[in-house]
This record gives sequence, structure tokens and C-alpha cells, in this order.
Amino acid sequence: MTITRRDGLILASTAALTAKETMSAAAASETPMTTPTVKSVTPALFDAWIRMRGGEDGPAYWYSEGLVRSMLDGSVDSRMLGVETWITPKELRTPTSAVSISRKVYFFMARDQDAMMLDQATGKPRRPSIFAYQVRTFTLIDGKIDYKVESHDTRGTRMGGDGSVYTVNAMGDYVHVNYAVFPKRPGTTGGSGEVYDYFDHGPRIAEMPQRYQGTWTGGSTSGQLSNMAHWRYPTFDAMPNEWLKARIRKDGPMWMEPPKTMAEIEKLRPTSVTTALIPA
Amino acid sequence: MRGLIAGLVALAMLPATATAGGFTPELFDAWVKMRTGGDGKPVYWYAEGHVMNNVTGAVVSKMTGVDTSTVFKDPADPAKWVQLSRKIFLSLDPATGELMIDKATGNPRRPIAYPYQVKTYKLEGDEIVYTVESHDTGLVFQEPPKKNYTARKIGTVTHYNYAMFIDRVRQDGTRSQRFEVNDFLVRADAGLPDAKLSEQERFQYTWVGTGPGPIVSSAVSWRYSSFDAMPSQILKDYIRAKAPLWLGPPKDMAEIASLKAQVPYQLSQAK
Repeated sequence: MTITRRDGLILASTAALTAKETMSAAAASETPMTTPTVKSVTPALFDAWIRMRGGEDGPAYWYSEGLVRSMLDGSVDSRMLGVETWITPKELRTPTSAVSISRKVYFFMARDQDAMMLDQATGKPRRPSIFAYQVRTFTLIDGKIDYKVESHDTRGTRMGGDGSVYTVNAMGDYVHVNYAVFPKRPGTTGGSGEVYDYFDHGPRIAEMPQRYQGTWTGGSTSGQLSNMAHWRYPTFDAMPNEWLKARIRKDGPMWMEPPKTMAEIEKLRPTSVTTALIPA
Repeated sequence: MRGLIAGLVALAMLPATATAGGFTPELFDAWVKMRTGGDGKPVYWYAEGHVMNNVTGAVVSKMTGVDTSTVFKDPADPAKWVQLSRKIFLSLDPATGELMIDKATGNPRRPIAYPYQVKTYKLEGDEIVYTVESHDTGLVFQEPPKKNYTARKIGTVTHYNYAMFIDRVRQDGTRSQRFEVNDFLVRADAGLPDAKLSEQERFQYTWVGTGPGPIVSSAVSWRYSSFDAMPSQILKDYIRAKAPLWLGPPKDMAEIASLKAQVPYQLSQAK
């Protein structure tokens, strides 16, 4: 079998290799396993990605903090603060495919206090970035992850995520995943690429938020650039920000957990969702 | 009125999880050590990533590179750290992984290369005051001092974040505008008795840059303690053959002064 190898980099043409063969090829190189070596996505790395995002044995909670900056001068407009809750039902899982169901809300906060930013035009708190659900389908095809996402932003649904590019790096039991999506939003014509990086530091690290983190940047050309870091937690209560938890408990308890089944998705799909998390 | 006062008191009692910069002296020292090594020995931040069309998502090129640094305390101000670094990034053909060829010349595309950067860090309150002077082979330029860093510690993981908006007029008169954001995730071995983490497992960062034009670029970097330890053979071969200056960081300010006089700095582009 021909292996196209350069710089310890296995090119996509080796995608037909099995996970075992690919990992063996990486291990056999002169590059030690503590360097990033595996680039085409094997079934083993696909599985590592799905497990990293979690939700197979109960909901995963990805707590997020970040900043929104002006692209004119880099000044900080606001903070972002929120959570994405996530499950990957076992009945929708195969060795090379998975469906993840999630729900998320990110508030725009004042930089130096836990208070929501006011919209200058209306004087009311700014509408959060909020989704009643997202359904993501991941399929491993020829060493690449095909990605589809359906999103319900409380007003309706849309499809997005075409053009995604996944890269998976492995260093021993450490895994890094990078991907970008380019959603086409109604009424926008400029670029809106979003870049995601996720890290699993391996089972040697027992504490979930120490083991799993991620970063996200929304490269919109609308004049602002948003950027967050994520930590994974096993429960809603374990997350660190009391303001966030109190706000969701009081005004949007639906966001304390992900949708449980596709039946719930089908029920939500044709409706709009009203929640006190969105300022009236 | 009583309700208003009670509300204000309740607001004041909310835990202030937000901070301007979030730095303590310990987090500041940890930042300097992580970014630069902290002891004068070179560190190598190896990077790889993609350059993409920000509308279609098409991969324009892959990239690989290195940013190598050393550090010392400013003799005139012991509270200030001075980082001397240089970086180079190669464009790779996304299909083959080979060096991207410039169609006009038939030679490999010119890398993004900085013969030096001089960065300074000083803690002021809970923020870093940051300055940077850069030589990008065609231009030497300084950014005004910024307070653009944040730090946040959760458990044993510290997250550092900073962004740069770059707006400069190049020698050819063109205006270069880019927005870049960096996220560093740093794990300490402390508290992880069963986890002997390698340098590149402990230290990594992600970078996203926009522009020029409808472009978004993304890279991840891991820290290595030597040039040879980095994984990309094509990068190491290129530097050894074409750009040996980038085998290590600038040694001292005398070298910086010498390079500052070399504008433009000539990079060989021959095959």
C-alpha cells in the first residue's frame, strides 16, 4: 500500500488506511508520538472527536467566556458568556457517523461586571445569541468529516455548515480538532467564517474541565470579531458562573439541558420558541 | 426606594467573575514563562493551519511555520520583560503539501517572515501593558502600547487571550489591515500527579486572522524546546537552506539594531 508521507504528515490520499494501519504508520515514523502526526481522519480519530464533544453517557456542558472586539481598532465592545449543552444519542451512532443534538445561549455582557449589555438603539438588554436546538450530523467519508448542521434560533430553522474543513491531530492520547464553517446568514453577503479548535488532553487528566477545552472565533466582516474559550463540565451546576446559572434557571430553564430526542426536535422545528432569556 | 436599594445591594453582592485583564503577579509570571521560556533559553512555537476564503470556505493554502523566542528583564526596568522573537510561515499547496508555487515566477511563494519582533510586557494593575516593534522584511514599525491581554484560570488550566488589529501602509504604498486573535491554553503539571505532560501538551495556542481581503486563516501552535524537535521536515529543510536566520531567536539588542538597519531584508526565493 502506498503511503504518501511528507514531514510526518499523512496526506488525504492515505484515507483508505484503517485506523490501526494509520496509527502504526505514524508510530513507525522518525517523529516521536509527542508530535502532531496524523492528519487524515481515521475511524479512531473520528471516534475521539465524537467522544471529546461528549454527551454519549449524559449531557455535556460546554461553558464559554469570551470577548467581542471592534475590527476598527481592537477595542472591547462586550464579553460573551454562555453554555452549550450537548448529547450524542447512542441509537444515532455508528462507527463512522454520529448525530449530536444541542442547545446553547450566549449573553453579551459588560466587560467589567456581570450585567447584560444594553442595545444603544433600544436601551434594552441586547438579544443573546440563542438556539432552541442544533442538530449536527457528522459522517466520516474517505478520511474527511462531512458536517451538516440544522439550527433553530428560536424564530425558525436554517441549514448551514457547508464548506467545513476538519483537521485532527493526535499526540499520544492527546487529540486536537480544528474545523471551520461558513454559514450563510439571511441578509448578509460578506464573509462569516467561524473557526473552532477543540482539545482533549487524554484520560490521564481526570477533571473534565482540565481535560477538555476549546476556542472559537467568528471571523465576520461585519465590523466585530467575537472569540470565546470553552471548558467542558459534567453538570449544569458544576459550571463556574453563578450569574449565568441563575439567569438560565429563572428565565430559560429549557437551556439547562439539551433536547433529549429527535422527537423533541421534530416538535420544535415548525414552531417559534418564546423565552424570557430574550429581552422583550 | 427600599426596593431599589435592595436591588443595588444584591447587584453589588454578585460575584464579579468579569475582570478587565484578570492578571495577578503569578499569572503574569506564568504568561512570560509560557510564551518565552522565561529563562533565556529559546522556545519554538511550531504552527500549522489553513488559509480559507471567508465566504466559500475554500482552502486557499495550508501554512506551516515557527515563532521562536527568548526573553530577558529590561535592565532599565526590572518589572518589564523583553521578548526577542522572529517568525516565518510557509504557504503549502493544500493538495500536495508541497511549497506553494507562485504562478508568475515559478518559484515558491514568498513566506511571511519577520526577521525580528521586540515585545515588552509589564504588569499594571491587573492588565499587561504590551508593546511590540516588528520587522517584516520590508518595514520596521511600532504599535502603540496596548492593554489587550486577558487571563482566566479555571482549575489548573489558564487561558490567555489577546487580539491585534494591524493597520499599516507598506513600502509599496498598499494598506495592510488584519485582525488577529490568539488563545493560549496552558496546563500546569501541578495537581496532576499522574500526568507527566510533554511541553507541547502543556503549551498550545490557537490563532485566527482575517484578511487581507475575504480571507480567514486559522492555525494551532505547540511549543517545542528545540528547532530539531519540531515535526515539519519541509519547514526545517526550508529554514536550513533558505532562511537560516530563523533557526533561532535574536540573541540580543545589538542583533536587533543590526537587523533594523537591513530594510528591506533580502530573502532568497530561488528554488
